[in-house]
Formats: sequence, C-alpha cells, structure tokens
Amino acid sequence: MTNPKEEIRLQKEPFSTMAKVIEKETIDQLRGWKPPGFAYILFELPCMYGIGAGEFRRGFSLCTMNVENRPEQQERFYYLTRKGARPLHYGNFPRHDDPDPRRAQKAKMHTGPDLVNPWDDMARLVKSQMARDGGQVAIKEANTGLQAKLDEARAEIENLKKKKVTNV
Amino acid sequence: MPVANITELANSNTIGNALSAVASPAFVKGTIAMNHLMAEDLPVQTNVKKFRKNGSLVAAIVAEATAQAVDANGELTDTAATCTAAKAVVVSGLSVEEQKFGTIDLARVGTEQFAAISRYVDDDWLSQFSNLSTVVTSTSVMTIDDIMQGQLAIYNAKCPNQEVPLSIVLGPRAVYNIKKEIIQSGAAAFSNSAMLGVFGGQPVQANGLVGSITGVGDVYQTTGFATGGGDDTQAIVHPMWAHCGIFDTAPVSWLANKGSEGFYTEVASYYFYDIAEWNDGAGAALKSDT
Repeated sequence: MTNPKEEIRLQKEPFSTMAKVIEKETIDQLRGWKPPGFAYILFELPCMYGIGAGEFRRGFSLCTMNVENRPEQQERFYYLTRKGARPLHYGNFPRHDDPDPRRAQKAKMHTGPDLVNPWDDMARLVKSQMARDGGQVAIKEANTGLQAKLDEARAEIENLKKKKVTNV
Repeated sequence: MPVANITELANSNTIGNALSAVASPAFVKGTIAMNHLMAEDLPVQTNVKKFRKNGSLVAAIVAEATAQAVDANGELTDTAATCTAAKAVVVSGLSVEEQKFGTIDLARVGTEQFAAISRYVDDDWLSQFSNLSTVVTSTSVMTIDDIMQGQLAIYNAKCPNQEVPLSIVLGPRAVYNIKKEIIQSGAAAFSNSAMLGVFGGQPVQANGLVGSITGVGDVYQTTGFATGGGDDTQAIVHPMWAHCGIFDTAPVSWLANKGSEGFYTEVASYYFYDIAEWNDGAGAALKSDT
C-alpha cells in the first residue's frame, strides 16, 4: 500500500546537514524535514525497524534532542552517542549577539561568570563528535565504493565464464 | 514606561458585564507521564542520581576434572542511567489593579504556573520516544499490528515484569484509527467483549487512559509528540523499566511585590526534575501519520 503523502515527501530535496550523510534511508528521512523552532541537535540513530509478521530489519532513524532551555545536557548527548547515534546537524542555539533580543537575553542569562555561553560549549561538543564520526563515515564510504567495484568485477567474471561456455 | 507582559486588568474578564458561573478551561494538553516511568525523589546534596542497571552472568558446562578459569562470563558489570536535576520555571507579574479589581488572583496564577510546568515535564518525556532504538513505522496510519510489533520487540529484548500491561502512548489520530480498525474489523469482532476493551467506559479518562487492548497493554491518549518526516513519534513502553526520573515533591512559588519597576506582584515558580531513558529495550517507538 502506498502512502500519497509519503510519495510527495520523497520527491523533496533532503535537508542539508553539517555532517555528511551516506545512508540512503537517512537521506530519504531528511527529505522534507523541517528544523524545529527550538535549539536542537539532530542525530542519525541506528535502530531496528519492525516490518511486519514479527520480522525486524536494521536501519536508521532521525531523532532530535531539545536543548532550548537546557544547554547543559552533555550526559544525554553521550548517552545517545553510546547507543550509536551520530550528530548530523544542530541549530537555533541562542547566542549573545542573537538578532532576537529574547534569545540573546536567554543566552546571557545562562552565561556564568566565565562569560562562556553554554550553548557554545554544546556546539563545540557536537562539532568534535562530528569530526570523530567523519573518519568512520569516510571509511564506510570507501568500503561501499570498494564493495561496488568488487561486485562489478564479480559480475564481469560471471559474464566471461558464460561467454567461454558458449564459445565451447 | 510600563513593564511588558504583566497580567493586567485588561487581561481578565471583569464584571462590567455579568460573568458566567462556569469558565471554560484552557485548551491545553493533559499530562500523563508520571504513571509510565520509575519516579524517585530528588537526591540530597547533589543534583545527580544514577538509576542502576544490573548486569548478569553466563553459566557454562565443563567436563569432568576440567578447570574453569575466571572469564568474561563471570564478570559482573552494573551500569546506570543518569538523571541530572534541572529546573523548569515560569515567572508572571500580576498588576495591583488586576489584584484589586480583576478576577485573576495570585492563587490562580500559581495554579496555572504549576499546570504549565507539568506540561513541560510531560513533553520532555514524550520527546524521548524518538531516542528509542526500536521503531515501528506505520505504512500510513496506526494499526493494532504496529502496536503488537512494538510489544514483540519489548518481549524479544527480554524485558522483565512481563505480567505488567505495557503503556501504549498515542496521539488522538492514532487512537481514532485503532478504534476505527476495531469497529471495521467485522461484526463478530465488534461484538466480542475482549476486543472492546480499547473503548473503555468513557472516551478518555483524566489520566489519558482510553482503554486496553487485551493481551497487549493500556492505551493512553495525549498530544505533544516529537514529529519528523510527517510522522508523530509515539511509543509503547514498559511503565517500570523504560524511563526513569527524579522529581521534587512540588513546585515552589515565590512572591515579590514590585514598586519602582511598576506596581505589580511577581510570581515565580520553579520545579526541579529530570527524566532519562533507563532501558532502551523496554520501549519501542511507534511512528504514524501526524
């Protein structure tokens, strides 16, 4: 059964994320994805999908962490990364020089005597995790490329074998 | 210059005209979270509490006269989920005119602030459904089979206390589609009392309970789910082991009379709490059309 709403959504361009996304399932989920109005971190979370008749398959889903009113959520961030979640993007973090005065005020209110905006701290954490994940993504991408070449070579060998049999 | 956002006389219904005996309540979401997670008190002299997760050992058989060394199977490791208390706050100002001549008093402001805080806590719990690693995505709308797949995932994860009915937390649209599925499944099923449990005795009870799906769990209805890709992220969770939280006994309110900043009373309420995912295997996200 096809879902017309889903078909329309899949026609849309995927949301452009800071971290590179290579999983097709995640790319599809990012099609038509709209960032929330609050400060957030977007993750790609490995998960098991129920596909009916008691069967499950491995896949990926998107999840957002709300950091609008609580910038100090490193514990939750680490919990998600321990589960294999990969930060893809973050946004709407209140800044001291935010054009919206209410958000600028919020950033200043959460700032301690060290004058460090806690959302900047969180952004640094997200970026460092993205950098760490980047290496893994590059390896995965290279592996996918090599696997494709291997599959191509195998198919060619099969073709050549068939040709040889035909020639005899 | 007047102070902004103060609750003033113009914000209330005054008796220039006669007022009705009953005021319509605000159309805001109900709160249901507390019955579906392991709640403990705030810790003392620290704002962090670790919710322990027991590890287990693995037994083996050895042949006669064979030694068995200490190995990984015998190493017992406990882990924990961490809750760090955060404070949910609301601050309001009530002008002296409103207090003197209006119909909104300080007690009413306090009550509304507490309700706002409870909605915030509730939404925090709902937002954690998208962190669950098991996901059942409906082809379009929610079906009983989707819910049963979620239940299967929880049982497959060997979640303890399987005698406890699971909590199925859905939005109104998903509940509508579940009811519709039961009604349209045929006269035999519709007349089967076991199937009618989901209708409960009344549409939705105060704690969000809609009814039970026999052999699966209790269905609760609420709003405020995280959305993504045109889907609401709802969930089926084990009420004891999926999520945990630390909660203050009650919100605290402060009153401060202001003069030089404008004549009003500041009502500031705060509440310390935190909610965390305790066991990923004790819950499954259920995604269906928003």
